[in-house]
Amino acid sequence: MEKALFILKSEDLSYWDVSYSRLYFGSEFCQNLIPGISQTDKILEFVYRHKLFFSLVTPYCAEEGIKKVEKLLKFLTAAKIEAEVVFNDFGTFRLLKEYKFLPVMGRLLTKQNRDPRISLFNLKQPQKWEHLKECAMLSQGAKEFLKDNLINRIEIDNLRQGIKLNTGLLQELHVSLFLPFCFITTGRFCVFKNDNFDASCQKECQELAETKLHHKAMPVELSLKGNTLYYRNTQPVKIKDRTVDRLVWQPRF
Amino acid sequence: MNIVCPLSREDEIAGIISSGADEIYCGVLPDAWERSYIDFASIDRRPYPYACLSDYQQLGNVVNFCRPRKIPVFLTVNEFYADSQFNQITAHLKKAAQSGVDGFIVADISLLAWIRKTMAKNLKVHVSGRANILNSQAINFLKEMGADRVIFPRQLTLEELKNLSICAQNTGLETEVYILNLNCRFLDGFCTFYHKKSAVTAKLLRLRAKNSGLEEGLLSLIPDYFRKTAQKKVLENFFGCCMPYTFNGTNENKRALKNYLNLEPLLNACGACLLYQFEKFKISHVKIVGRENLTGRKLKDISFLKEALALLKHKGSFEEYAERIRALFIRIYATKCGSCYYKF
Repeated sequence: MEKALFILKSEDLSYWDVSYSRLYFGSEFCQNLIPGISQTDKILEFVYRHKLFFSLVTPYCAEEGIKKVEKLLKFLTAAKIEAEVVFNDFGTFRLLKEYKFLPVMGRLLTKQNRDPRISLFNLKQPQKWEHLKECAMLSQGAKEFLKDNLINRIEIDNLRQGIKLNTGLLQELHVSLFLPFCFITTGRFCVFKNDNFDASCQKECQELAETKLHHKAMPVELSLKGNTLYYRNTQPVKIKDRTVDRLVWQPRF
Repeated sequence: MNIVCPLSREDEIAGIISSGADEIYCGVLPDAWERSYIDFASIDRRPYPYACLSDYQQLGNVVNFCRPRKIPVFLTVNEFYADSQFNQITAHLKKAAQSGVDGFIVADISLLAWIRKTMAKNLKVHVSGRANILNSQAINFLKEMGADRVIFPRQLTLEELKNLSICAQNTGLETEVYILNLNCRFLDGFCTFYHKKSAVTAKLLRLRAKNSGLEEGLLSLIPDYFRKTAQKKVLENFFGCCMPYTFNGTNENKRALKNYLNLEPLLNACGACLLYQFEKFKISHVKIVGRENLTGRKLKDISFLKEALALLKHKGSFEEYAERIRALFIRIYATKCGSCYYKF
């Protein structure tokens, strides 16, 4: 089982140890957090020094963001860096085809049901909600799409209700499992921006602690960081599927 | 600009067309799906029987009414479907095609690919706002995948919408924007909160499907304040994004969070002032949200938009137009408008 460490900034390299053979670097949820070239270069030095594999993580993007992503891809191409690129936007996927990078479908696009309350649903009729353990990107039609578009790896979250993978006939497919944080929802409105999602960003979400939210109907504590709601799933992983061959550990969201 | 209107009951169609809708979208909730999932899975983002037609016969009747009037009808299949649902969904698409729909509205790009591979080429496919198409590369990708129209998500600035419209038009894609009704704090296509309802509410909603006219009459007797309060309570109880959470933090932090999670501005959301700009951007379609709304509301929405579009002929400056639209909103709905769909 491959182990990857997912970090957003170079300071978090301190979390690395020799058990990780791969480094994930970048952002999934905000184009303002797409790393710059010098930041990326610093990370690549570390990757090179420790002989690691590298995965660049990219978010969903408006036009400004997709231009930043393209700039990074040009940099990686010029530096002849072999990298996977995790995409959470089909515009980015199109760029990956153009620049010939190995595409990995990120967890925003693999469409799992992540509402923590799902695990509390009526247990007397489990057949009514078994589908809520599945991943929509592993439906029959979606697997054809993955195969036709040469996408061989997808990323998923560890769900409270359990996970049911239908990798089936897709021999070449690989799955990465993210731990311990499970995102629930995200958007372009940021709690630091007062409804102006295009206002200038000071990356407050990186400096300030996340806010914890509670409600009696919610079985877990939720966290809000910037524009994304998520929770920490401390339950053990309930899946045994040979296609899950990578664990991606996030020391912080 | 063409007005795209939702439909949830067969008996609505005559009123909706005569009010001026240019295109119809609707869902069908087949018995087999409802028996399989009750309310644990939505076939099209509206897991309520009263928000959908109940069979393909009704769909065919709607299509037969619209066709001689040259009004296209599209079926919404804007969910993300598990493997265990795939055969049901593809059968659903085929039956809808046999009923004569002009095409489908999808959120799942892989479903778009499947339709293009498997179904008749004359069927059009619109890509829902739930696909979160936010940049020009994604628009080009859609065109390459065989889409006919892109529906832009709400969380775009005016400048972004302008540039994306130009890009879409250059690729030959039609363009559509949401224009009225419920807004969302998050990007719908990335949101995995479950829109759950209790068993009691589900029973009440089934009654509503049969007695829409009665409910409409009763609702009109209830003051607007109480209706909005009731609506808010329902959303707070069942929508994970709308629940009244408690949280700790500094006063400034608490204020920011309360504002961020505040449900009030999301009701009565509207983008009608921006018809002024959408005309310049050559947006081809404007969509009324709310298949679950009562017929009376849908007819009001169409009337409102018809008047708003007519006002474009004498528009003056943007500020003058916006002021007229806000006054029109109050006249039609007897309440002020809520949040703006698009940032400008």
